Amino acid sequence: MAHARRPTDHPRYARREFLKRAAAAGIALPSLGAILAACGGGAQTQVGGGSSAGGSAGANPFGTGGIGGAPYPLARQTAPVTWNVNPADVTQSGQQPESGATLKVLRWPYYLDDGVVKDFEKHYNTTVQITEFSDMDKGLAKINAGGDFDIMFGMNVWAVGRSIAAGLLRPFNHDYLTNFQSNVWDLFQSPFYDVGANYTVPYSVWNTGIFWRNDKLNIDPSSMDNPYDVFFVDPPKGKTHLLANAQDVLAMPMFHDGLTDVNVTDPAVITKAKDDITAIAQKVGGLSYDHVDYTDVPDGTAWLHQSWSGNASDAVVFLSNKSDADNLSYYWPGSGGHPANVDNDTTVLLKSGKNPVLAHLMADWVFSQQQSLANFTNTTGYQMPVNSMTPESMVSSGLVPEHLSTVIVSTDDFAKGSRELELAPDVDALWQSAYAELTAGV
Amino acid sequence: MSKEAGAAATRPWYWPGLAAPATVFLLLFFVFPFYVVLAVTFGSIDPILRQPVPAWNPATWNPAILSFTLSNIVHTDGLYEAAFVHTFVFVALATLLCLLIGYPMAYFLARRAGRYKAVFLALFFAPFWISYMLRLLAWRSLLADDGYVNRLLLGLHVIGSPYPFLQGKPLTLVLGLAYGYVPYMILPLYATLDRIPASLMEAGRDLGLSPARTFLHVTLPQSYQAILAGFVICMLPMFGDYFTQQLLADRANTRMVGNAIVDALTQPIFVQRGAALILVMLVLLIPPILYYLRSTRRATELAR
Repeated sequence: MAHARRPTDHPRYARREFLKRAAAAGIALPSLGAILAACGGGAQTQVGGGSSAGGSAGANPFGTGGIGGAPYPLARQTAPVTWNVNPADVTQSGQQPESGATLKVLRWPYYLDDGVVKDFEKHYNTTVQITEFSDMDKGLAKINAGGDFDIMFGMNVWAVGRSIAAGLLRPFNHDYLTNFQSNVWDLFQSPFYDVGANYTVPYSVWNTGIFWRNDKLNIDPSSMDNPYDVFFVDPPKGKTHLLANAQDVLAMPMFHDGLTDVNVTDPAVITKAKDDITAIAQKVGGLSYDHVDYTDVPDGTAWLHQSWSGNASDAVVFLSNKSDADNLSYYWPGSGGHPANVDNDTTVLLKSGKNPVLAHLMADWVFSQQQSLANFTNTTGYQMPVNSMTPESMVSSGLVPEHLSTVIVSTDDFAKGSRELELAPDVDALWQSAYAELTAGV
Repeated sequence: MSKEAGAAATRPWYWPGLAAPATVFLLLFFVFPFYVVLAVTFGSIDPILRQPVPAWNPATWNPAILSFTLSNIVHTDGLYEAAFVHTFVFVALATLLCLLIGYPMAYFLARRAGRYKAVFLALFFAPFWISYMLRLLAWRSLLADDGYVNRLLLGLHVIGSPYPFLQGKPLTLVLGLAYGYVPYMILPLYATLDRIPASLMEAGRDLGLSPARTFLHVTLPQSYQAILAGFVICMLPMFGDYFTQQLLADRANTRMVGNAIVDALTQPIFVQRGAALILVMLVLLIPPILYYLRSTRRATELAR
């Protein structure tokens, strides 16, 4: 079984990226290539029709709803966004798949199963050409650079609005999405970040929780008044790790303080969260921030790790002795009614693509019961929000150990959990600066 | 007049033609990327995609980010101050360690290995045929709490509990850097020591010098240029290294400039900071390179 990592905002390094970076290891000033990659977008995007920064999204040229602060509306659960659709961009119904075409797919490394792709090629007698991006921003740079990509798997929700505003996405025609309509959870038929699912269908779902070695730590977060206390009260020295991105790291102490909306703009709250993490770092003799919880915890590098559910489920496959899975525990505080993060990413069609019908069919292909299970089992480790994937079914099929059934997200979790959403640029800068200070130890 | 010189005299494009591939290579892979770094540093951020937008026209360059970066390097508790201090200290220690390990090794290979020289050379360099990443992963395994090093130290009762080598220890990082770059020290030393005529040392001994004084007064002065070359060749990549820290000592207290650059480059709104850090490092590394080039030229002139 191949292993997967959830695409995240800004991975510091993860297994696949790590392999890529190996090539550059030991080379002086290794960053020129990355700089060039970052510049791949070339031209500055144009804000069509004026800006609404700071205003309500009601007058926004890109859509209605949301909150202000950016040139396009920022979606919130309490302020859903309906993006404008140009009818001319919508693929007409009833068309046959493009014949003799090569469908150009963008994905995160190991985030779409090759077997699923092969089945698609066979079924539609077509060719799929896969290009990978190592983080979301590089993915955005790729599609902004003008390539003729058809479809992207794994676009983070925070990237959706800006991609629509930059004119990069093609709207969906739901007539082609039969699996989506019949198999995918209801909440994603019209999510708050894209009312009507005009531009997105979901791809993976996960939550952010606590992953630990139960043979090393005698803790039971589920029985604690505040499960996040495991990070604050006597965390294991040298063995406590957090995820490596600003929002997950800084949201944790906010959740600890009882906040349910962690998309905060108040600098004082952000500073307090940073100070709280600093205090933890001092207690444990320095924190490690990484996205390799799926190896760190099983191999004992970390005993306590803030973690994504998909990575925790993935960790099991890293065990040389499967019975060692008994030593791994995962808890999502949201399941006990505590504030906690739950999230998803999306599949989007790209306006630059030459094969819109095939792209629709590919987006829908992965939602079949068979393909979604193959995608999870053989490659990604992240579940898709399809009705057949429940904690019960995953345990009964033997794919997930019973005591780790909490790594499977249910539709109810989205009602209980909080979302870490796209922030206005000036607020995002505050979060990123606080996180940069944490990693720099200042 | 040689045939080549004759050709050059009749065809003025002869030597420039030979230099053309290297010139094109440098333009493509050094000058242009360097200009991109400049353009990014002094550019802006796209308001929609929030990605860096290079400013290709120098007339529009905005120095704010470079200024921010510099102030965070020089100010105590600045964002990058510690990374710079760590980098210079760790690189200096690791380079010194490379010399302490590399010189005896090179000396042995050049002067004492005899007909087994090639075998020893192959044995020494064999591990370095494996990728640096894989070797560092092996180190992680060796230095883990339950790794062989801790087991050995526990078994010998040197320590009472596993030493946390991989939890941000400067010692581990310096050892890792030295391990990674020591061949770059050995190679120039070996090449130089191997070429020192045995008659020079014999002359020293004939004049009554002890072996130690022969080394100090004959061998060592002959290898100064190689030591300098080893220093430069080891230090330059170490200054840009981020991988060793990530794998062996991933904590804030061992963070190096390379790590700060990588962190900045993976965060689009901070890519300009990463580019500015690259510029600063380039500027800081130019003087030692110039010193090395000047020193080499002087040595060559003296040798004539």
